[in-house]
Amino acid sequence: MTRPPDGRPERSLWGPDVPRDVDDELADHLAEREAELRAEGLDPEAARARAREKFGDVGAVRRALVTMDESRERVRRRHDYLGDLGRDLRLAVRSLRRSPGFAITAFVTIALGIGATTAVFSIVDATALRPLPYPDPTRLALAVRQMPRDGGKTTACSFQDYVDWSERTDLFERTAAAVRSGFMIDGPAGLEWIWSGRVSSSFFSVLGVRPVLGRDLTDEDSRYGAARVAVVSHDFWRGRLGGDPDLSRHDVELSGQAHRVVGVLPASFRSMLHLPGAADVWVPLVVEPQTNKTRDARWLTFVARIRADVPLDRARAVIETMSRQAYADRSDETLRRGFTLVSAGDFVSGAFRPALFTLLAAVSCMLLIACANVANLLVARSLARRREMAIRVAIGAGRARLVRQQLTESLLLGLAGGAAGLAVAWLILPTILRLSPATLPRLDEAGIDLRVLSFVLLVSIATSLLFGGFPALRASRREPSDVLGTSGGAAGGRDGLARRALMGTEVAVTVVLLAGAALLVTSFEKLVRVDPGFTVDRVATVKVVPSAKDRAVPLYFDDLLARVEALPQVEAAGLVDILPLLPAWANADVTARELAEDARPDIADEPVHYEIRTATGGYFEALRIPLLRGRAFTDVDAATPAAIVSDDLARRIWGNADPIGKRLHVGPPEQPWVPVVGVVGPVRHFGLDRDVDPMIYRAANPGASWPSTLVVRASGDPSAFAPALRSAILDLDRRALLTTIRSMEEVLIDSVAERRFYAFLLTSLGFIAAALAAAGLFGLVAYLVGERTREFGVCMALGAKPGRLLAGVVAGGLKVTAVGIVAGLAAALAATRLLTSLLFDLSPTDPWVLAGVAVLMLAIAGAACYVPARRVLRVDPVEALRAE
Amino acid sequence: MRNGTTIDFLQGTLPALILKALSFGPLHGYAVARWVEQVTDDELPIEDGALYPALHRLEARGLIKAEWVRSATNRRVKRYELTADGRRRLKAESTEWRRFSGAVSRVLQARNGRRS
Repeated sequence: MTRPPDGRPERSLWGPDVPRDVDDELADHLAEREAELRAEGLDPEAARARAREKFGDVGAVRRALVTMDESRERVRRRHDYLGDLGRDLRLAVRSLRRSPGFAITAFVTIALGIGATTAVFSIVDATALRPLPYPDPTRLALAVRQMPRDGGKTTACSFQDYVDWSERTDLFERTAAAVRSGFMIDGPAGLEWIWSGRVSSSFFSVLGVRPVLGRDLTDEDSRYGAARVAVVSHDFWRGRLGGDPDLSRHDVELSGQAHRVVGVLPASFRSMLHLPGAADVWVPLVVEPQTNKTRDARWLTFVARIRADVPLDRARAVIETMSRQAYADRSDETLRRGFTLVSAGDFVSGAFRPALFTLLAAVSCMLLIACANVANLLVARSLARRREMAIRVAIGAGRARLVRQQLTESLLLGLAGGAAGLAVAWLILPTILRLSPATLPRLDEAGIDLRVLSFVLLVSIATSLLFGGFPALRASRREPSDVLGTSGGAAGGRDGLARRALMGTEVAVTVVLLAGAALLVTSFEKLVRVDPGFTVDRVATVKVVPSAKDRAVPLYFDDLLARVEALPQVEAAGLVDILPLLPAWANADVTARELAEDARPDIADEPVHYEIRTATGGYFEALRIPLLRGRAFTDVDAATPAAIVSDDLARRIWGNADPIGKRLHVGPPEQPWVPVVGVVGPVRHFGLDRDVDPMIYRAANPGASWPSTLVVRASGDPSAFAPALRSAILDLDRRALLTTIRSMEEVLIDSVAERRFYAFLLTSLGFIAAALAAAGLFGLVAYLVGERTREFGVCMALGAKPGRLLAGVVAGGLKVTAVGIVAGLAAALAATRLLTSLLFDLSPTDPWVLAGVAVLMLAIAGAACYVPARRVLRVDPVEALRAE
Repeated sequence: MRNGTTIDFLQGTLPALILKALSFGPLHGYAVARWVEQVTDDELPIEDGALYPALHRLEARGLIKAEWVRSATNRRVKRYELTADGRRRLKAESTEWRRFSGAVSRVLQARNGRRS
């Protein structure tokens, strides 16, 4: 390009500079006209004026020309661009068809990488990112407080709390209370349990949901003594009521009581605020006159819609202050801290976000490795095509054009791989969802939707640029003369370094992933080896609701136990009110002095938190909870109350003194004294990763509700035993209601399901990453050997042993691996800290685990390098020399 | 200055005049203006400013093409040249004009007002 005196280039990168061209043209005309007029005798001033006059309106003409020409330029550019794009695409397709090996490998790698990432994103989006499916969900909030002894958070507040907080209309637009409940209902396969909620009449309006048929609950429905009504879910209405639009014809019997169905909720409605799963039926929350309304009875969940002009922080501060004042006199420290307000979104997803985001980070690492592999492939391929590139440059293709061509190819691969990845995700998502723990919220919303589709598109484009950008820039930078003259470049040099650096990075990232996976697996192994204090082997459980009432219940259960024990396989059987390892509790907080007679004086005023269970004697035997002192419950204890304490609690209260015979108030201090008749071993009642829970067991008493969960230890497989158990129960009482018979082992597995899920996913990712890294190493070594064939031939002709050469090649590959491992371990030391909350009894920088991972990586790399290196052994020195 | 109708009339034929000017060889904008002045003895009052939009429109339609060259004084000059399409168009316009002007002449020279 020539440059005019003022130095500016005549054409910009995007095309002609239209205003400048127009100015030049018009200026030129005016100058010539002026010159002519001066030649005719006018003075310069007059000439200029006359020239302009002859021209007309210079400004208007200039504007018209600029507008016209610029729009023409735009059309031309667009046309050129589309033409170029079409050409680039055709070229890309042709070029990919010529190297099918590369194309398929790259395509499959990208598809797997994007597929896995999309599947994980879909889950993480549904569970942790998406806003709750209610109108204006950011204004919904719940009241929660911390449970003692690291028990997590609870929403359970008292009726008085609900009343107090509802009065703050300056903060809340509307408030509601809800409590989880359940009913037995007649189903196609007999009687079954359904989840339900008891809710205040404002509940659905707080959430912003209106029934699609019938009406919402009203205050009238919540009045004590009002006719029983229910609002049902859409599925329930379709399934059990046949989708009948006339609701007045339908009553449902819930646990034996008839309820008139008055409303049907929308199909899209999900309540996730206080229920583990979907609820089918909603009944009014009726607070009976005799209900304990004091702050000691905490059973309600408080849900509120905060006013639009009030920030969450302000409402939170008020609730905290109010509840701290209300509970200031309690002995339980966590109660004194009072309640706080959390947004509904945080409540549902908050606990899971760290783990899920870590998972997303891990899968992104895997995607990065996939990109690095494809980038490596591209660099190798561009090396093979360097003659073609050089020729193109020599005949005038601009560098920008070449880069664009390469990028188009990469985009084509990336988008095609992305589409395939979408299909992969769609295929594997159901499997992953099946394996995921039921505790992950909103999993039913995980799927391929618009958000996920946009994600796939973005990731495909980003991936293309990531793996394609660097090789494209490098390929087009090579000077033609570098390459056209020689018959092949050296195997090292800049390209070799680039590939080795990429490989090293892959190894490093793989090490980080494997370290995370190894830590989670090790931690999980440690967890399941923990002794919970009871056995889960061959123990079946079932909750029974007999048709007998009141006084007949204990007699019924006595009969039932006798029958069950008489079954041939049964080794022991007992009853309890709440099973271990379930998220259900009954507990009390008192001072030691209030709890027990003769408590150790030095802890008399300390708070004691313990769990209360009601059980029969056979319970301890069935679960093999060892009896350490005294005796288990017998029939005698039904008449006079008796208690059994866990060893840890006994030592805390009475030290080394013999607890047998000492007396307790079980529950609130006003309860009568109950003597201790036995001491049993400690149990981890709520989970393997929790501390031992202090327990007080009460003997079953006809005055209170009888424990109704049957626990049976049998000598064979519980599932084989289940039908026999069921018939034994039903034979005695045909109209008894049973829940599904579950083995304690199932219950235990459920309690660790989350950790197992994360360990499983991270391990899968780690192995895929390792496979990708191994493939990358394989490719790299194969390429290096290929490039240096002649060199090896010469060496061997000069007497070098093939074995030594082979060792040299493998050593080269391992050097790269070693650097990668060191870098990876360093990164792992930082990254695995993210997993701390998921690890049980394991430090995130545990040296044994990290060492194990390093050794594993070295072994994988060794194999990946060795196999292609064996080609060296087959090099024929004569052939190699002749090829020169 | 001629009256308005003459000027309007002229705007329509400007493209034809430009094509003719270029049919003898490439010219830059000013040269076209001068040629038309000289050939018509300055009878046609074309404003210089009207010329350029017509030139650019002809270029957009592909009847003429433009090239930037360096003048003797090292100034950038835009030179226009007739394309094959342009040449064909010029021929068509000439034919059209002859028929039109012939017909108008006959009308204006008619001696009787009746239709035969």
